[in-house]
Amino acid sequence: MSGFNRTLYALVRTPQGAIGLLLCSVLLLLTLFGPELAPRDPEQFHFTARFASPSVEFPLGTDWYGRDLLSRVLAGSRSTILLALLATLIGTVAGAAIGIVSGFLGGRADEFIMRLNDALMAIPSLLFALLILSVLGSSSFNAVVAIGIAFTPGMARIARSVTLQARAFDYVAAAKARGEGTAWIILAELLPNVISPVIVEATIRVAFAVMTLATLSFLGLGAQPPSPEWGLMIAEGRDHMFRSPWPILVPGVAIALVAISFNLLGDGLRDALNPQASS
Amino acid sequence: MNSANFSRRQFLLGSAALGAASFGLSSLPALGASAGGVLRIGLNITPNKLNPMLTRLNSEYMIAEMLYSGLTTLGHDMTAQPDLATEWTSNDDATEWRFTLRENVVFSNGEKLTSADVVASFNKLLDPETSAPGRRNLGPISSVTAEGDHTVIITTETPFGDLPVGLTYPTAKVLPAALIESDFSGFDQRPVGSGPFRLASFKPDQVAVLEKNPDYFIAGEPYLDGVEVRTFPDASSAAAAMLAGEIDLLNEIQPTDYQRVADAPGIDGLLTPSGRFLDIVMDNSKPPFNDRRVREALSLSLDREAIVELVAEGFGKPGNDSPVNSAYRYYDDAPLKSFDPDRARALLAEAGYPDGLQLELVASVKPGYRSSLAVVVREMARASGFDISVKTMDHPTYLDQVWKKGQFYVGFYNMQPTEGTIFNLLFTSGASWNETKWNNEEFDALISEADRTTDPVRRGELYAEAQRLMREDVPAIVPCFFDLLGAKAEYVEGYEQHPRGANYALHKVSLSDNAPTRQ
Repeated sequence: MSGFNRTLYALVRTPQGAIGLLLCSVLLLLTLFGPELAPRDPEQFHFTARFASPSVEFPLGTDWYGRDLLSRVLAGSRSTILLALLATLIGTVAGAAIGIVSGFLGGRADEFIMRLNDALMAIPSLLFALLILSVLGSSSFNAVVAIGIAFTPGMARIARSVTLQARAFDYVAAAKARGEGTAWIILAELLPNVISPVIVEATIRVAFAVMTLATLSFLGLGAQPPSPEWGLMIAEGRDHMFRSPWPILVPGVAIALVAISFNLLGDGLRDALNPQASS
Repeated sequence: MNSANFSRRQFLLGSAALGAASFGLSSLPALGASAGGVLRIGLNITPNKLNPMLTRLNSEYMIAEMLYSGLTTLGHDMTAQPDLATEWTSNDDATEWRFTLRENVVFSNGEKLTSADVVASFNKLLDPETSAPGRRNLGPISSVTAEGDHTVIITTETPFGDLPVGLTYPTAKVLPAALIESDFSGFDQRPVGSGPFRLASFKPDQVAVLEKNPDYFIAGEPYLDGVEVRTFPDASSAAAAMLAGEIDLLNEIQPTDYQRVADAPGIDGLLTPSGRFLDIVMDNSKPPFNDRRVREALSLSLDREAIVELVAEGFGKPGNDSPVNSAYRYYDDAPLKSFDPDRARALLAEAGYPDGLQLELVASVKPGYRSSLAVVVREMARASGFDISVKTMDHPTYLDQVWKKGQFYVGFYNMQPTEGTIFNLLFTSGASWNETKWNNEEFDALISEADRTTDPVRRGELYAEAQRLMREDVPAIVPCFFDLLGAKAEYVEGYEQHPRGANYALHKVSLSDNAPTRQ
């Protein structure tokens, strides 16, 4: 595992990598323990404390039903971040598989798969996700699937272009000469050499997934009220914006924080995994 | 006598104003509070259907009311007022009605309006093939006949004391008989009516421009030279336009925006108590809601005062599980149902759900307070053992898949002119939209007797009994009534919100001297 250690070391040496790693670790902890850390029931109304500003009792204020915003944002972290990770995972695995296979096969098969892929890529990912959701119906899980599918073409493009470079190397020719099967060549020879750009891309995509997921919930196509999903919290809080900014501000800052953390981590990883930079 | 003098004076004023205008003296001081100006109204739901017999939305009702006239129109006290008919009488058992028409009415194509047009219009309206919304709300009409040029006789199958009020339904407009015959679909594009205004141009989703009808049958009215009806994408952008002075009148404001708009300088907030309500519809024919104890348990789980605060921002009144409130004539006052989670829990246990009950409550996203109610009900009913999950959906999907079909959802209805209309619309076995499937024979009998009764005292008793039955048997939960909220610029005069929410009387509106002058 010295490769992993080396990467980690290279990662924390860059400032954006160090900060990104730190923030993402904190977020990961939140995802794991956030709902348990919430000081109050995130759904409980407090009739006497509607639109409260931050105070000792309610550290981040309350919303229009008097629900504690700190508890809601903590409780919502699991669904928001976890679902974003899951959506990215779906998009990455599917995209990488399509891209590597297509790049390895080359020729007509590659042309066919990639032109199809380009056609899908021409549709903006939010629009594509909306299209999928209108077929599947609205729920958190469907939103995750929709974003995953919408992310797949972009990921496939990246995986394929890296595969095309890797395929030209001698070790692939050697493996072919040895008479190895296609599966072996793809999994053992190509994948390890293709994986790092894909991981970097995936990390940056997490931030997009959080925002797209929030957008879908905002449009009423993802999580259902009274779920404390962050995008939904903002959508619901919009009506009450002029009476208190806190119900929008708190989840808005949370989404921005996640997006920034994963972007920093992605930038850091790109430098750390780049062979030229590490020398 | 008095009113005749008044209209004569108005007529003189009107002709004086016309005379002045034709001499081009634009700097004349305004005559009275009336003459001239263009009123700009904001909407957030675009009018789609111009054919007045096919309208369904409040925005469409507004345009139809400006372009067309009906026999009667609805007063603010929910009584029938003269429109095309100046007076009406019925026989003793209220089965034969005689309406006397005005003699000076001209359609915008120059033809005179006679009783033949009224007969043709009602026959078209009552023809099931026209599929006019509200066809069943007019009354049990069996025939409409003309007697001479200016008298119409309407007979009903059963005695029906509310006929003149029933005829105020927004789709009951009078169109020229010749055009109904030859070109009914033409009304989708080219309105021909006898209303106070005429359509100058219409761009769906943007603006409808209407100008004064100089031949309107009430002399001197309308006071305005024209009306511009502008459509905004949503309620908050319409409110923003009101604040920015881009519009003069807004008749629909969300409770969350109301205070901010009403407090702005130069703007008067309009607030009218109304019978508009949200209800929680339960399918009484299927488990678990076929058990009265479950319905009562849910009813006891709600803190109604708090719902008014949380869902209507305080602009409303708590409801008692009957769609009739103090805005109606025969309202039966009763103490507000109490919030009693312990009793609710006990009832649930009795009904066979000692460990609570899981349910899914569906709410459309338009208007926004439907889902607010769903969330609030979920939270309140938690204490008594209900585990309700909320499912929101867009409005067309809701109308298509859930409305009138679902087992448990949030409904939203305008006030209706009479108790009979609302009960026959939603709660009797033969109701147009019998969504609760309550099918209570005792209730049906009470309503049908009240429909046939002309004595107000007896009707009051019957409707009171019907309301008591609904409170006790809880076919649906009506936790909250909404005030109608709107706003107007201070210089807009003569506009009064109608509690029914579908009448506007814009021909009575005028702009005062300090209205900003525009091109």
